[in-house]
Amino acid sequence: MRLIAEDSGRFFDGDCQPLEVSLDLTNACFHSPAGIQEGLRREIAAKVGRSPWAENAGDDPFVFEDWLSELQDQGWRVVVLLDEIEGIKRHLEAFQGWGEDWRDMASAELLTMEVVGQRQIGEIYGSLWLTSPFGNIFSQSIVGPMDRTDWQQLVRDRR
Amino acid sequence: MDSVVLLTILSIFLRKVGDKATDIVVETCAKKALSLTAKQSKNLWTRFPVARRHEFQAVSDQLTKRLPPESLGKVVDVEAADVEAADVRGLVERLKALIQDPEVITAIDALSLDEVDAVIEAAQSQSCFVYGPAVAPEGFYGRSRLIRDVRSRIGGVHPQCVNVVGMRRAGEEFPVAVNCGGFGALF
Repeated sequence: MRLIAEDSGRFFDGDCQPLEVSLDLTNACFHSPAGIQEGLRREIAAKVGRSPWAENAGDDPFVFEDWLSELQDQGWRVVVLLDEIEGIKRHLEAFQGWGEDWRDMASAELLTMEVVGQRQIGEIYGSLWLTSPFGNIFSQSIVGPMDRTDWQQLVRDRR
Repeated sequence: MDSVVLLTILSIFLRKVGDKATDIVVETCAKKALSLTAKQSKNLWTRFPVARRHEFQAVSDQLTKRLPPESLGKVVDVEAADVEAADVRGLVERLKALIQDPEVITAIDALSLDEVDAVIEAAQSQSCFVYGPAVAPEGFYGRSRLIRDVRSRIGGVHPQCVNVVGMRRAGEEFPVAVNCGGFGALF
């Protein structure tokens, strides 16, 4: 997550203007969709230099999408990194109904999501007898043990 | 015997690269070769004459690169190993000369258990792993395939969403059991 945020050159071509927002769902600020949206607003404001929408306009469903659309027109690629996605299980009531609008926006390429967790997002919802609102928009990458050459290099460099 | 001694010395060098792995390396090689205890072997490096350490380290580094990875942690006959024989032989000769150096022999003879304990205690307080917050990008190791995958998706012409699944903090240095050659280690 941090690598993407701080070394974006490894992930995006030079003509791509990434706007990464990293939110850790273990943070109490992001235990609700409104909190996530506010976190997004603050991060965008910090990086673009102006607030994309007024703080009290978070309930307006049009504002969020309109701003993403505007950012897209300006050449920004908004990448939202949601770490510890299992957090939604612990605050399920707050997250009821959340996600489908994000799926639509991702499908329209207004934003790109990278969600990180210990289980696949479909399994997380499945374990709650729910259907993931994100459908099949995610491809999956599994982080396994480090390769032999990688850990050997790590050990050698830090001895 | 020479090759075993060589690997013992190489193992003592490797002690510096990590506690878990080299405990086993040192124990395996030292007991079979020089009849040193693991603790005594651990102390050997610190008793090496400083002027010889650099040369020893340089030779060991080169040798480590040439040996097949599966030979690390095992007592093997280097000269019989399936490697570039002529290439390795030169390094072997350099190491042989080193361990016959009177200063090195003196260092071996001067092993003291009291000092060993102090070295062990110091070694146990060191770790090549960073615990706590996520590491800085320059400290990120490996994961080249994952990086390539993520890049192709979020950085593609048409961005795609990606779900990264793994143990907590597994991106860099989360302890994950791996089978690394002849010894088990936690990384």
